[in-house]
Amino acid sequence: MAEYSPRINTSSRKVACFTRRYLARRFEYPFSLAVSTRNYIMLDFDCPEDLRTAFEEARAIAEAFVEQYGGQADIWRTPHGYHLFFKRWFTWKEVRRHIASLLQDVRHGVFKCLDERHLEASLRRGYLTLRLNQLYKVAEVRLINGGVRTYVIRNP
Amino acid sequence: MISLARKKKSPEVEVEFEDSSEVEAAMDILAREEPELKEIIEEAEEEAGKLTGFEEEYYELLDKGELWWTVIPSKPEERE
Repeated sequence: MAEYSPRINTSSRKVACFTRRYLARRFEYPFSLAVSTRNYIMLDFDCPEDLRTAFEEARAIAEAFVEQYGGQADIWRTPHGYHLFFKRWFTWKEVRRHIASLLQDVRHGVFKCLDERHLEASLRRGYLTLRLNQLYKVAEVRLINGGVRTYVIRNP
Repeated sequence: MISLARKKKSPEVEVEFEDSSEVEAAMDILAREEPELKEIIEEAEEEAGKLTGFEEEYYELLDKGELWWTVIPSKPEERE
């Protein structure tokens, strides 16, 4: 493991792919591609031993956001749990407020699988990051005729 | 812009490319002169054209600059 953990941010897909391959060759261990944002809510649920709870937490939070703001939230399966991506634009100040509130919920035991370290790191860095490896979408949450609907696309 | 963030438990070096077009132009020049880099760039271009899944779903947001790419070390369990 390197002494320091490099993080490379770029708006170019080509640059990202090149950087990943170059660093992997240089350091002789793999690097992951991730997406980062200050304007959308992206959450990580990491609970490989209890995927049912992880999915239910992701779904509950997705439904709460969609009920409050409308729009759409997507839930993605990851190797160790789920990602939640809420597709509504926020200012970083708003995102930060939501992250801080969720962090308090995790610390009070409301959520068991929502990744506390991911929330803490997001507040420390000033943006959110999610890894992109081995993902597939399992559910979409939308507001239809005033009611929140969850469409399960694949068995979560 | 280059910023450094050093923490005792998880030290990080963060590098941000502000103008990707300049970086891409520099890569093109390097690729012409360095055979090894040329090979990496060709592989990267092929990979960039094949990305599917999460990133494909959010191409539009990535293009608008509301999302950006981050390259980070893989987790230890992903390195085997």
